[in-house]
Parts: sequence; structure tokens; C-alpha cells
Amino acid sequence: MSENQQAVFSPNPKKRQKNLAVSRWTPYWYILPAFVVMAIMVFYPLGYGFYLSLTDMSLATFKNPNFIGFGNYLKLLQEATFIRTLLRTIVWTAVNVFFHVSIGLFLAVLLNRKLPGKGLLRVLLIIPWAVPQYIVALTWRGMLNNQFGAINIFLQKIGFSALPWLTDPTWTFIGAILTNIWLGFPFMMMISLGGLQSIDKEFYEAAEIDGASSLQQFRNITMPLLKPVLAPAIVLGTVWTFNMLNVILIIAGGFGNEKTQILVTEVYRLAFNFYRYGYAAAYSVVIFLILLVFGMTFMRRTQGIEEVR
Amino acid sequence: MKKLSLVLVVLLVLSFFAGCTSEEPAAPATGGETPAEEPAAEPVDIALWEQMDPAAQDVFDQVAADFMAMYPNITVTRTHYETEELRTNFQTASLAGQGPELVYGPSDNVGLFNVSGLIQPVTAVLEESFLSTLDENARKDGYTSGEYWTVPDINGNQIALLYNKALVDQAPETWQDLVAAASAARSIDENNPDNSTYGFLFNEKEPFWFVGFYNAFGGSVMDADNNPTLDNDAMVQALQFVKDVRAKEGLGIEGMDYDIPDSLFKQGKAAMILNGAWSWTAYQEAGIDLGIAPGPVLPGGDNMTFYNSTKGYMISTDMDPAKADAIRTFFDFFLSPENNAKFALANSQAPTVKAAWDLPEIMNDELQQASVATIQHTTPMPIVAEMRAVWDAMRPELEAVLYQDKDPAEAAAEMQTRAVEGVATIRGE
Amino acid sequence: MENNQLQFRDSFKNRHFERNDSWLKIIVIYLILLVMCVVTVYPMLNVLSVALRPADNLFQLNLQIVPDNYTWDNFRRAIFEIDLLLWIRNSLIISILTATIAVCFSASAGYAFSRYRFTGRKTGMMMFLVTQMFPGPMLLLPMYILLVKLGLVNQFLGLLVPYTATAVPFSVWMLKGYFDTIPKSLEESAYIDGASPFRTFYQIILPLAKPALAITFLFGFMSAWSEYIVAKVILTKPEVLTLPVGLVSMQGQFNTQWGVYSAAALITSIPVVILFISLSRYLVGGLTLGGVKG
Repeated sequence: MSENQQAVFSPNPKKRQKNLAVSRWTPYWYILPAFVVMAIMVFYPLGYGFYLSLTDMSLATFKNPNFIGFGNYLKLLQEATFIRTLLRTIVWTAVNVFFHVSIGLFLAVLLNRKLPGKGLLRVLLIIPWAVPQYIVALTWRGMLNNQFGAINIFLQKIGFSALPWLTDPTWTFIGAILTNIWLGFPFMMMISLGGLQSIDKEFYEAAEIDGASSLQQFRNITMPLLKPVLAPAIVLGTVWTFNMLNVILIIAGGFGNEKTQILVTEVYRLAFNFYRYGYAAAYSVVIFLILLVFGMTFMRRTQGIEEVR
Repeated sequence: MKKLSLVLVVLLVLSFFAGCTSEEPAAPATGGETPAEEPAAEPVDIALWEQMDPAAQDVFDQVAADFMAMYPNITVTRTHYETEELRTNFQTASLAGQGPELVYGPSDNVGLFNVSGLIQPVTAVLEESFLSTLDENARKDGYTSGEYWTVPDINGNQIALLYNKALVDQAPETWQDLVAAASAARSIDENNPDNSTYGFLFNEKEPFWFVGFYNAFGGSVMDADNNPTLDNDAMVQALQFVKDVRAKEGLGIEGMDYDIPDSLFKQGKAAMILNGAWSWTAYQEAGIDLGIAPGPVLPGGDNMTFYNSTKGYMISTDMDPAKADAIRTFFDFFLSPENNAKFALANSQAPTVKAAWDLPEIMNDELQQASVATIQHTTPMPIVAEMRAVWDAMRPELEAVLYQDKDPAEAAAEMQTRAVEGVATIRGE
Repeated sequence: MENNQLQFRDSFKNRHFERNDSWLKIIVIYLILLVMCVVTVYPMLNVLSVALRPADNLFQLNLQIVPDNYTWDNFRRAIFEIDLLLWIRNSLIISILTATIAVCFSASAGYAFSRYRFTGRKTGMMMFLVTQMFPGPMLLLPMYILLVKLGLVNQFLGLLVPYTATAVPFSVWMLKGYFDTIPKSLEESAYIDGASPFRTFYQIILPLAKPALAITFLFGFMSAWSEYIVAKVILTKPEVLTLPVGLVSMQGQFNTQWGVYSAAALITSIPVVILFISLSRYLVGGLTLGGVKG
């Protein structure tokens, strides 16, 4: 084995660093293709978004907007509804992600064993992910119908009273949450399954011998070993849920009620209903910053970037 | 890996074959028409983005096939978008200089596109000799800021009272008549919902329906300067009235939206509903013995007065001037009386070409005549961009009155405040 | 005799189920899974119901799945009258390409992040996550302008680039995490045998990462398959429409052809399910580290 190769994997960190000089560019070559694609498709639009947020582009100034500096941001922070919508968005995200992960992980644990028929069950459980989001949202809206929806009919059959899903904005919001949970848990289940499969059974066997209970095994073996895979999944899941537009729009039937809006639907409304592109861009930048702070804090806290010992 | 690749390859191959069969270009109609005398022209491509209903899209394809057979050097491509997306995509595309030559949609797009400089007045490209063949009222629907911006091809889009002749003998003329007919037809079976019949249903959540009541009581949503005028007695009356449909008269279903009346009426389980001209053909096709009438006279007001509007073609500012001739040919063909009549029939709305009104297919069509009868009791919908703010303001307050027991007077006042704010936002203040 | 029966029952159980699971546990597990399956499948039965109804009826007053006057007409119309098959073909092409490219790019990037220490490593990883955070609606306009400038409107390539950009970040993280769990001793022994780093990566490490690669492929496929917002802006010509755009084009402002729409939606779920089934064998089983124990 050449000295380089030995150096790369040597247990002595100092030795590793020093001889990295020769094959220094290797990692960058490996990363280059992915990075180029990201640069084109994401950094440019992000930059444009930043630029737009500093202008007053709207209907009247569509083809030649004026530069107004941070005016949009000041306006945004003074808006009474901003904080309320932000809080609502946080509730929306937290509840959804919590259930996505807990249901997904739970099902993955159940499925991660010898079980006849497991293959079929897995396929059935993945269905929410396979169907186009639009259809799912429309179907759920049908099911949530006060009078004729399956959910109220079911509730009444088991003795509860019907709930005002689509006429009371709070219940509409809850209905949207249910729909989104239904949509999102298969993804977490898949990720967890993949992660669980990769945990060497030996760990569990050793723990068994030591007399650890299932719960202890879960806490001390499963969770830490799942972290490298679950942590980024949670960050991304959070980001996607935070920015989820379709489900809310379809279930709430538009922008009708303030109580069902989250930040991103507000952006959409400002941009495409009121044509205030500059202002909407500022809104988007604020959303972005919030998510950025969250992402970095979360990853640092869970040390998700580090590899597993 | 092998098995996976095999599956995927098979899928891909199959889909290629599938793609081949459905990709056949629409065969040009082999009509006996001989092409008109055309100088050998270079190929011109006209792109149209449209928002037509499915039936109209089919008619368009047929007419386009005839057109391209007659004028082989001109190709017409159409792309369908939903209303909202049509607006958004057209704006996006125009900003990048990539838009289509023509846009087809409801006239209220004019307010939006005109202000942002995306369309040009039709008089810049089309000649008065052609434009004067169109109905003046229809043309006026696309008139703003001193110019005409649309080439309308159908006129109507109005909501009317639809009744199932098997359940209701005669169209009610007053509200009291309607309540009587509806109560007579209504029979709810608690144990077996499938057996129920409803008397009167309509989309109670949607402002587009609600304005019918508001206008009936003498209200109007905007003044001459396009500022909202929503806080008045007519609004309070209308809100209370709509709420009373269920609360007092015992008609309707709580939370009824668009699909519930539509579905139930198709199944013959609803005696009367309020729905727009775009839906009439579908009900006939579903086998309902359809009756159409203007909305009845409300107590203390007029007939329910819904909005009418036209749909038509708009010309993009980015249109290449070299294509002007081809565009004129396009319009001459597509808005000939016969072709205009075809579109009118497909949409079950009135044609805009004056000569088309006298064509036998229009004179003898039941839905066409019904359209004419109901249009008398409609009023033109404002097309300015500020309307968005009005719609946006009405909806939550309407729902609050219907479902959260909000006081109509309060709701009207808040509606006005919201609308004023919204208008300011749109105007960029 | 009883002993034999007991032994048979036990060995039956041990052959098919985990050793540690009691019968009670197994029954409870099945119950839970079955309930969840009902939860996932029922809404789809609703869609099926609408697809089987004539005359585009969205609602009916009973809970029957198969209506009395059911008809296959909507399915027939979905396949033959609208361009459904064309859209499926377009979507398949794009999704498979996206997934393949995403896997290649992410595997190589993920490997680098996992195995090498270099400046910008941590920042790089965060950047990939960060790129997902900007709200969709605002990215539309600049992306469109960019693609116009590159001449990629109405081209599949114009979609490939954004889709890959969506699929890559998460895949990089996934694969990096997965590579982290593969002990370096494998590569070390490969080097001792004289293999080059790239060959080691390609022939030894990658096959071990099959579960993660499978998930990445599926994920990349899905992000392209059901993506709608970018596609509807970029694809305007009828012959290049993808599935989501095509489906939505069937919606009217108020009146949608619900029957055909639902039938089409069901048909579009099929390729995904097929893909998932074929990929799920790779999700099974952990790493076989038979050669490196101890």
C-alpha cells in the first residue's frame, strides 16, 4: 500500500493531515459535480431572490422595479400578523415533524424483523409517498367534508359527534396537519428502515448477553447509530414542512382565513394574488434565515456532522 | 442490480411504445376546402396559452386542424393552463421575453396584464373592419384605460338558477316561490343518506356566488375610481340573507361548496342549484332534464344579479411584428361566424360575432337561448387588478358570518377595511 | 407426543419470526401494521371510487367503495383520450435520469465527505442542507430566467438540472452517513491487496452501500416524478409535459373532470409502486461484514 493511501486512513491524525498534501484535491474532485449543479440551480436564484427583496417590484413596476433598500423588511417586521403567522408555522412544523418521525421510526422498528408478509406491508405503507400530492390533498379534503366526509361518518359510527372540519378555521388547520402527517411518515419510515438495516446485529446480540432490555437497547444502540442518517432527515423534513404550500392551500380552499395561513402561503399570496414581488421576496428571505438558524443549531446540537464512533 | 435494471428497461421500452401511439399528430382535416390564394409565405408559428374548458379545447383542436390545413405555412400550438397559472406563467415568461403571441382567458386578466405592460391594445394589430364584426358589449368588457385589449369570443360566464325539471315544474320567479318549491322537493332520510333529496344548494363560501345576492340588494363592489364600497346596508342585508338560507329557511347543507351541489345535482338528488354557464352541458350529458332560469327576485331587492364577463384573446407586447399578418389571418378564421358559433356551443355561452347570432345552430340551441334569457339579469364584472383585493376581503368575512356567527354589520365594516388595505397593497402604496 | 408438537411450534416460530418475539408480541405487531395499512390505503380507495363513477361525480352520500353504476370508462378515457401515456413516458425518462445522476453525484460527494478531512468540509455539508431552505414560489422566476438564458426551456435537460439539484443535498447526507458506518478496515485491506482508491470505492464500498443507494435512487426518482411547480413553468409544449403538469391541466377553474383525473392519478402511482418493489430487496438485510469480524 502506497504511503499516500496508508496516510489517508492512518489512525494518527497528525500523520493523516500531513500527508494529505499530495492527494489534497481528491475530495474536491469527488464533490465537484454535485457542487456545480447546486451552484447553478440554487445559488443564482437565491441571489436573485435577495436582490428582488431590496426592490419594490409590484404590478405597476413590473418591468423596471426601483431599488428601495431594506424598506420591505421594515414593513414586514411591523406587520401585526407576522408574529402570529410565524408562531402558527412553528406549531405546524413541530407537530408534523414530531409525528412523521415517531410514526415512521415506530413502524420501521416493527418492520425490522423477520415477519412473513413484511414485503407486502411495506409496499402498502409506502402508498402515501407514491401518490401525487395534489390528489392526496383533494382526497383528504373530500374525506374531511362536514357532512359527507368519511372521517365524520366514521366518528359518528363510533359514537363521537361530527367535527366542523371545513367550516371552522382551527379545525381546518388540524385537518391540514392530519393530511400532512399522512403524507410524510412513509419517508421517515423508509429512512429509518434503511438506517436500522445497517446496524450490525452483533451490537444487539452483545447487549442481549449483557442483559439489556429492549428499551435500553433502543436508547443506547439504535438511536446513536441512527443519528447520522436521522438528523439530516429531520432537518430536511422540517424545512420541507415549514415550506409546505400545496396541502394547506387545497385543504383550506385558498387564502380565505388568516387562521389557516403559514408563512409560505403568505408569500404565495403576496406574490401571486397581490403581485407584490419585492415584498414577497423579503418575506422569503426571512423564512430562509429562520430555517438557516434552525438547521445550523440543530446540527450542531446533535453533532450530526460528526461520524459515529 | 440485474433484476432492477431489467424492470426499468422494460418499463422504459414499454413507455416508448406507448409514447409512439399517443403522439400521433392530429391529422389535418381532409375537408374539401381549397386553400385561399396565399402568396408563398415563410413558416410562422403562433403560440397560444389558454384557459379553456375541456369541451372548448376539443373544438379548438378541430378548428386549428382545419386552419392549418388551409394555411400550411402557419402552425398554431396551444398550451393549457389553469386560471391562476396562466396569469403567473404568462408574467414569468413575458419577463424573460419568452411568452406566447396570444393569451386566451377571462377578461379580468386585462387589468393585470395591462398595468404590467404585458399586452398591447388589439387595435394595434387588428383592423377595425374585423373588430366591428364583434358585439360592442362584449368588446367593452375588455375596455380600460382608453383602449380595447381583448378579442372576445364568448360572452357570459354567468351563474343562473338551474332546476331539475323532474323535481320542479316551473322556474320560481320570486324567492318565496323558490322556498316553496325547494321545501316541497326536499326529503331527508336520516338513516339512509343515499335516499335524500335536497331542495336548494349553492356554493355558499365563494364570493363569486355571493355577489349575486349583494348586487340584488343594490350593492356594487367598487366605485368609479376602483375603490371598494363594501360597507353598506346592501352588504349587511345580503350577508344576513345568505345566512338565513340555512338558518331560517332550512334549506341547504352546512359547508356546501362547489362540488357538493354539483355532484348531487348530477345524481338527481338536488332540485335546484346555482351554477355557471360552464357547467350546463355537463348536466345535460349526465342525463338531467335541465331547466335554466334567472335567479329569482329577492324580497326587498331585485333578481339575483350575478356577474357576466367575456373570455377572449389578448395579444402580447412581445409579439413579433412580422407575425402580424398571420395573426390577422388567425382571427379572421377563428372568429368567423361559423367557428365562433362552434366555440359558443361548446362553452354554452353566447357568441360574440354578431353574424353568429342568426345562425340556425345558435337559434335552435336550448342552452344558447337560455343564456340569452339569463344574461339580461347580470352585470359586467370589473376587470381591474384591484378586484383581487375585493375577492380576497370578502371570503373570510363571508365565512365568519356563515360559520362563526359574526354580526353582519361588523363583517361588512371589516370587509371594507381589508379591501382598502388590499387595494393599497396592489397599487404599491 | 406433546413435546414434539411443542418443538414443531417453536421451530415453526423460530423459522419465520424473530427468536425473541413472543406470540403475543407478534399478534400486536400485525394488528398495528394492519391498522396503519388501512389508514394508508383507505384514501386511495376513495380515489378509486371516484374513478369508477360515471359523470365526474366527486361526492356521493354513502360510503360504498364500488358504486352501483360503476364504469371503467374513466380508465379507458384516461389511457386513450388524454395524453396520459405520453406524460408517463416523459416523466419516466426524466425521473430515471434524475435518479441515476443524483446517485452518481451524491455517492461520490458523500464518499468524500465521509472519508476525507479537508477545508470546507463542514461548511460544504451545511451548504447542501441550506440550499433547500428557500421557499419554492420565489425560486420560480429566477430559475425560469436562468433556464431561458441557457436555452433550456421546454427541454428535458432544463428539468434535469433543477431536479438533480433538489435530490442531491439530502442524498449526499444519506450516503455520507451510510459510508460512515462502513469500517475503514475494509478499504485498508483492499489497499494492502494493491487496489487503487477509486477502484476500492467502486467495487468494494459501493456494493456494500446498496440499501442507501437504493433509497437515494428512489428518492431522486420521486423528487422528479411528482415535482410540479418547476415543471409547469418550464414545459409549455404539449409533447413534453410531465405527469404532474399533465394531470393538473385537466383541472378546470370550477369544473374538473374528476373521473378521468382520479383514474389517471391511480395509474400514475403504479410505476412508483413497481419501482419500490424492485428496489426493496436492497433495503433488506444489513451489511454483510462476514469478512471483517473481530
